[in-house]
Amino acid sequence: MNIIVLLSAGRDPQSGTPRPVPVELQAIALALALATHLAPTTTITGLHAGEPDPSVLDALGHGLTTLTLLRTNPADDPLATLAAEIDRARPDLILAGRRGRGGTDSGLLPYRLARARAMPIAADAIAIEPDGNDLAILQSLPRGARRRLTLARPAIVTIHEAAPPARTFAFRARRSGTIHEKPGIPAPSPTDNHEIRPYRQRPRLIAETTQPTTAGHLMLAPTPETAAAAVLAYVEQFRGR
Amino acid sequence: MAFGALVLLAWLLLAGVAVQVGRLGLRWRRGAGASVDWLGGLRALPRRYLVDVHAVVARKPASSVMHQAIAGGLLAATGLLLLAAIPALFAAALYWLLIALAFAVALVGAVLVRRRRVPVKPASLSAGAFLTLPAYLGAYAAGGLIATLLPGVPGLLGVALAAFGGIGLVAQITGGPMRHAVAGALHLAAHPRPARFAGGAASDLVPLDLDAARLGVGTIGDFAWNRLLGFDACIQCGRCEEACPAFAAGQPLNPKALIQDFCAANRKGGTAYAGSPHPGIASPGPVLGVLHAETLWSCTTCRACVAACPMMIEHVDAVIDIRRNLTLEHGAAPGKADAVLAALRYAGNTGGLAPAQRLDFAAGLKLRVLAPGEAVDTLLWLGDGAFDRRYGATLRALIGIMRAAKLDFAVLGPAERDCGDLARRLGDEAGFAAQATVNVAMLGTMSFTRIVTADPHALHVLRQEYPAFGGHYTVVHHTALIDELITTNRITLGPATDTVITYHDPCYLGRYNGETAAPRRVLARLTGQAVEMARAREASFCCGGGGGAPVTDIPGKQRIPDLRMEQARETGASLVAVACPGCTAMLEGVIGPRPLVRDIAELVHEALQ
Ligand code: SF4
Ligand code: SF4
Repeated sequence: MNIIVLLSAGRDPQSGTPRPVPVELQAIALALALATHLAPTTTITGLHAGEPDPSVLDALGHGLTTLTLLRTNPADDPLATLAAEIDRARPDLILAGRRGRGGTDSGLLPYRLARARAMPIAADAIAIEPDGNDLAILQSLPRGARRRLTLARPAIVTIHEAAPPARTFAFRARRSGTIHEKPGIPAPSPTDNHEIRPYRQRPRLIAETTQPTTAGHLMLAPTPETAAAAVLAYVEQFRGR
Repeated sequence: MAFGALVLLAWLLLAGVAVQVGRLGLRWRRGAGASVDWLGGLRALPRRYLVDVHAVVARKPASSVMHQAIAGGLLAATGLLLLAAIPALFAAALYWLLIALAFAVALVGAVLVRRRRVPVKPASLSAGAFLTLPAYLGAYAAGGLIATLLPGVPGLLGVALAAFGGIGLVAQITGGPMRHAVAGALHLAAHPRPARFAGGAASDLVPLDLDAARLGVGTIGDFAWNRLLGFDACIQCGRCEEACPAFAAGQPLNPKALIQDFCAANRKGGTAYAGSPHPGIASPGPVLGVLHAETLWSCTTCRACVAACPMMIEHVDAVIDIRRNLTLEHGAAPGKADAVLAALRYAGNTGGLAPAQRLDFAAGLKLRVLAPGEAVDTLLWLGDGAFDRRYGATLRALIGIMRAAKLDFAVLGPAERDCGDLARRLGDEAGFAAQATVNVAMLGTMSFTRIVTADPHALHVLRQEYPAFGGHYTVVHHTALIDELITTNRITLGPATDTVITYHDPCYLGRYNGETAAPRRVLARLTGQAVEMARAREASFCCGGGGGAPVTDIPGKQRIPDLRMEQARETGASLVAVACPGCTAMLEGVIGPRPLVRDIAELVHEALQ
């Protein structure tokens, strides 16, 4: 199997210096874990369109052995470059982070790539296993819920922070990793025609609840026993659901 | 007859020693190359032995007397016997009397050697081959004495007895206790840190070639050959074991067993180690085929073992060499190490905090922040302790003192990065080199006459370890600065109180940099009741905060700071004076009723008039 991990030019949120994006390092660890289930011919390649940013090169210290670097202007839109490389490399699985990290990235790239190549995409995976010719994905949902999905290959999967931790950094691996450098496709960035306006806190979306809301019960200075009994009675309602 | 036989025996034994040294030499050749100044080393050997080694041995007077008797007697007697090849000497009665005298001294020595373990063997001493050693020594000395004093058949029997003892001793050179004599002498000549005998601190770690095929020590043969030689010099006296805070706390590290592990890794078979093991962990482990990684990560790099070792063995260098391999090649530093090292790599401080937060402690103080191209007399290096609110109080006190003395000083503010001490002790030499390079370049854009810091780890790194990266600075610890300000009357203090205060020497100030006097002089101005803990100055007991130990957090039976606080309690002191952010944090973390912990800067600031 052929796995590609998309890598972005991350920045340390405190100091602003180049730093790998943590969740992308977790994606590498997931790919390595998946490789242990698969034939030894599995290849895992990091992919970045832009400059040889130290943040991207440092991913080599976290278990990645090969990195393809497509040289473009960092202000360029990487979509065409990445799509062309995917046509060439024909990966079975593409892993990516799940959201923008505060640079020029928007977090939309995996979705744009999926649309451009008509590939299925699943978000927020915390585990991936082979399932015959397909992939079994364990997806992380809000409040600790989990959902199983099956995806046909090739597919794009974004990784959630709740995935297993990244491999620790080893300087030796960082030093000896292989970097394939190739020219990318120049593409003017679409960011120029974006509307820029001040940040505004968005209203919270409140999920519709299927549980009929019951009238509350106000207890003033209850004894510990009555309070505990009330909590127990409330919890009882959910038993066996 | 007996005289002739005895002389022949001495020559045969010498030949045996030569053969054994050759066999050991083959073993040491498995090590990596090292440049050694043999001529200078051999010339300095007598001085290194008589002055430096003796200074350490003499800390235990009984051992000193024992060693002088046995080594002096044995060497003198055998040396004199070898000279008997000169006919004039062979015929002189006085000469034989001298030899008899030397053998008699050696015999006393042999008895003293036996007394070390009989009737009760102290826990820090090894058994095994050490139990047969006094018999061989005694046989050689007694046999020699008989042969020189009694004529005829009894004399010949004496020669036989001496031969039994002598052969036993020579046989012990490759695998047993007598190895220390041969390896110890050569180690003194070929020592990897010759500067330590010239009165230098010589406690800096040596930079690693980051392009090398192998990073650090991953197999026993990666150690330099003179390190392997040094390990073989160990006489298993147990002084390092008694000194080690990690061992005392029941963590899986015994520095004596560690050195013996290295010896075992470099030989096949041989006598098994018969001393106390690494606490709570079964040997052997996977590292170098002999050790567990937990053993290496337990070390606080306090150098108490190095300071205590009469054979001048460098335990900490060996620990760091292996840690470098584990961290750089395998990313195997345990606990929070990976996160802390990443924080350092990307944010420039071990907490991963915003660089501007380094000055949060000084809100309202309006510190002068030195910009590139500017000049100041004293540069105040804050250290990563500045991010900690508790240590911020110490720094505020120090700044108050410096202002009272009207010093011209400034800080680096957000431009300051961690000095890299933690990365280096955790084996991340690449991370350290990166910090050092950035800091040296940044400091090069400013001009100042000296750096003052309240952090002994930063002091050590800036003073002793940055020169290898092109940074040469005059670095002053804040206790030395305060001492200077008092003696030059730049600040005046109120009358001394009668608070009972004991001072805890930080390892990186006392042992690493030999600064134990200035803090005590300052303390004497603050109180009339300064008391010492049993372990003070060069023998100080670590707080447990060095070497990244709080980050790797290897569990033991007790905690090192609890042990140190107990030692402080025993003095009856109501206050422990400290001089390091690490010590402050570790000792203040001790729970339950205990003496107060205050930095010397805080005490002086309160006493300012
Ligand atoms: S390493 Fe040094 S102090 Fe420790 S047992 Fe050996 S000789 Fe003694
Ligand atoms: S440096 Fe300190 S903690 Fe490490 S082995 Fe030596 S005495 Fe023990």
